[in-house]
Amino acid sequence: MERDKKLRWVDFINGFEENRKVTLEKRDFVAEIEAAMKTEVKKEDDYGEEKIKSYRSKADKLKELDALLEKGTSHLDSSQIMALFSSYRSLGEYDRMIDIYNHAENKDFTEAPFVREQLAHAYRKRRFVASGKDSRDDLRRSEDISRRLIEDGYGNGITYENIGLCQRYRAGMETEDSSRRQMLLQKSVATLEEGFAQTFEASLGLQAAYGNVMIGNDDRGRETAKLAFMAALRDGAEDSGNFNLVSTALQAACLAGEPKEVVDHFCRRIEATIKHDWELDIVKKRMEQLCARIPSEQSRDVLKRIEGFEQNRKDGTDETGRIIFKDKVKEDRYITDDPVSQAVHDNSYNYRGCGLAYSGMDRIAGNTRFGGQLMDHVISRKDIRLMSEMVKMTPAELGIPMSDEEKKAFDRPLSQIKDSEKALDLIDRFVRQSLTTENFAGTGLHMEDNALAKNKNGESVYDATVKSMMRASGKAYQEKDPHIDTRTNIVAMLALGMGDCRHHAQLKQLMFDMCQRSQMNEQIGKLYADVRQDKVVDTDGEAARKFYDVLDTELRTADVQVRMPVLMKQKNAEGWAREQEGEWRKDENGIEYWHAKILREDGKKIWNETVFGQAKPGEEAPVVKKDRTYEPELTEDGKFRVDPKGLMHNVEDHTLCYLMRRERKTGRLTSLKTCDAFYQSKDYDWKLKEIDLKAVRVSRSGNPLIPVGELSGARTDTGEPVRIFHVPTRYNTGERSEQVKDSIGRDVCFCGIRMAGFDTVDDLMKMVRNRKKMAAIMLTTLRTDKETKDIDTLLPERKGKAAGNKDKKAQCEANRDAYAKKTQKAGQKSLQKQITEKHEQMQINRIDMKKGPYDR
Amino acid sequence: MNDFPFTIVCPHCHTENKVTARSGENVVGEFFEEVQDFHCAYCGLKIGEVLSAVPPQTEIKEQGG
Repeated sequence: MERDKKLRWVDFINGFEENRKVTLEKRDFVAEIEAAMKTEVKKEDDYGEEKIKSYRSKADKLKELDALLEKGTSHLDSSQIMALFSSYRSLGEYDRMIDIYNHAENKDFTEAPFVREQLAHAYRKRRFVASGKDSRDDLRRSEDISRRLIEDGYGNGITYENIGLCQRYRAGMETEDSSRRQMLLQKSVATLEEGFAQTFEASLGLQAAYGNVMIGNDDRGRETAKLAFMAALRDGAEDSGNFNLVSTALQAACLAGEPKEVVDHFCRRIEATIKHDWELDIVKKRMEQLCARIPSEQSRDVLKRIEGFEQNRKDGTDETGRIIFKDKVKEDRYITDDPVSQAVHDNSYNYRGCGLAYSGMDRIAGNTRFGGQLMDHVISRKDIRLMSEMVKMTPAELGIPMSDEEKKAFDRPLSQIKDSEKALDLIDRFVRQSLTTENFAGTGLHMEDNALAKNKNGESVYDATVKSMMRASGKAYQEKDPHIDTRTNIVAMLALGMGDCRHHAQLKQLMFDMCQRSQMNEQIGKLYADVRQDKVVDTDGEAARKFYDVLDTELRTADVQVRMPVLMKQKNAEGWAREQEGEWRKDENGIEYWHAKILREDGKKIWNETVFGQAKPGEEAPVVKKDRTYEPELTEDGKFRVDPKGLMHNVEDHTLCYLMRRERKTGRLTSLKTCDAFYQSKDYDWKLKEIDLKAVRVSRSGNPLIPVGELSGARTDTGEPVRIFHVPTRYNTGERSEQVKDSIGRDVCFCGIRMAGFDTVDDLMKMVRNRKKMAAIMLTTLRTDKETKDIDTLLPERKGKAAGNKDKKAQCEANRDAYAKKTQKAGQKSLQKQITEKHEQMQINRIDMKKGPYDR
Repeated sequence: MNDFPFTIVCPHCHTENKVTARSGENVVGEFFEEVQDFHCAYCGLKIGEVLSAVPPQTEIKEQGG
């Protein structure tokens, strides 16, 4: 196929069977690829247990992949070709990658920037493998591909770095002509500098810094490293678990001469993020080079500590292949001694480093493949691109409802609104309007009531719509299949207007992070302009101050349990009850912790040290009563029953954002506010609620207990308000920077189906503005879905015009029946027959009219 | 260029591999090397990354001796 088949939203309405077919075909292809790439061959032993029989060789894998490739790629869509392409890449078969690209007919595949980047990479890598000696042609070709990408507006860290590296390799080949070698090296550094000036990507900045050091510009290298370090901070290096980012930050910090506590922090972080021996070797070797070339106390300290890591590591690895250290690394993610700051940061995340060229696609795993209704959510480069274009629009262009005064005051791009609370308010309005929070798809459901607005099947109209849309995309609800693709881009949810608290938080977080990214880049840009004129970076100047102001005002998303002392329906569960009775105590360091009494079903009481206690090794987990989340015991008039014992219960799981500000030097939190896009106007007022930092407790295991106000007395049976707490939980966490193998990086999917209409930000905004059409699509899909149960209990009774139509329809039917009876009695033709005959006659007349005068 | 060989056991198929990476210091100075992937000579999957001026070569390490 020349282009992929993309679906429009309207195609979902009657697309149940067709999409099911496509889903199964794709699933089978994914299964075939996985089978080809399988490393182990398992066989059942005499006792029926599966045992590994043997390992498959590369040749076996290639044979099966080649068999798939021999069938040709003309019948495959871009994601399927990409799956093949990536599999060959996993095996280091660069020749075959190039072959696939050269023979592929699918333009969606060949035009995709991500694919072209991979192709440039393949040319650069294959030059040795193919001929056994270095080939300048391959390097030039690789360089050309990257240059064309930049010309087409797709330049990023990878493209610039590829050009810089190719030039550096070519310089390395010039063993005889030293002036040409020097010229190529200088060109290489210039390319890396240009790339950093365009993209502000941290690793590119570090490459540019090293390049400068290599050609003898040590000072410029050091100044560039300062900005590479700032860029790494912008991407969230301080708390990142990404080895490459943390390693970049550590090297840049050493080269830039950052303070000791900063370098120490990154040293600890690198120890916590290193998974493999070679990662340890890479950092060690880089630090050795740095110490040899630009010796400094920091670099020597770091090198010593890294040598210490080697002594500290145990022999062998754990079952995941990760190296183990004898002494546990201090896993503090922030440069601070403030336990509240540390705890809140540890249990939350942002998207500052998401969707970068280096980190691939970020995927937040859902549970559809295990039978749930939560799809896999992905934030790809495409989402980031569309979102960063979107924040360049003014609030009015985004269609955000505003007063006349606001329209005048905020007549500039959203990303240029420096008052973060105002910007968040505007983003809230946009998100709530787009996801129709206050009246979901015009059904009258206020999404804030969704947790409790269930019918007898335990569904709200929102839940039923999600399930219908999933079925319409060809996924069987509650079907467990590991190969089923339910990838859903966050922009697809925005376009459709379907989202619960998770999507509200994700969209808000992403839009705000894009605004902040743009503001921080503006300041890095100003500072880098100075560096390119060989000036020193003014770290106390206005631009740096503005940069750190933005950096230290951070929005972070957290998954929490909403806990209140209200009675919940109970279920039996195996495991340990959490947080029942107890008291606050202090440990030897003066840190408070909850000394909880664990209650078993059999009435036995055990004292446990923390709220979040786990069974001790070898101890049997007892059967206990657990709260049924989302099912509070309500009075007849719908009020919460307060637990007379005052025990805390988990009312619901929720995802929301917090806005936090911290002091640059100490890292202490100066302000913490809930910043929820979802719960704002009903039971909870968490739109922007200041939290008393002194009242935040941190358990010994590092989990914060955050007081977030009260449930009003009007909603409780006693008439007394009750306190509400947030306790972090991890109900939708997963690996956040997982590479998705079969994505070309620019496709937008809804539940694994490729969607049309996302080419530009204008296309996206057309959909976002047309809420009525999207609502009609969702509800018509709900109605046409044969598996929707009790539709009448989900949708409200039709009122107004629609109800009038219903009445009119009934009246018409009654009239027609009466007329039919009357005419039958009189021996006349039925009304329907008369109408049909009249229509036929009109049709004939119309055809006659179309004929020309000579035809008559 | 200086070759520096080392051995590593493949985490996927447990084959012992001899990997030869190459330093580029003699040609254009420090920082010439790039972080390069290397793959198991038996099962073909990526088993690591190393700083090397050229793609590292892997071969199955002879057993015995």
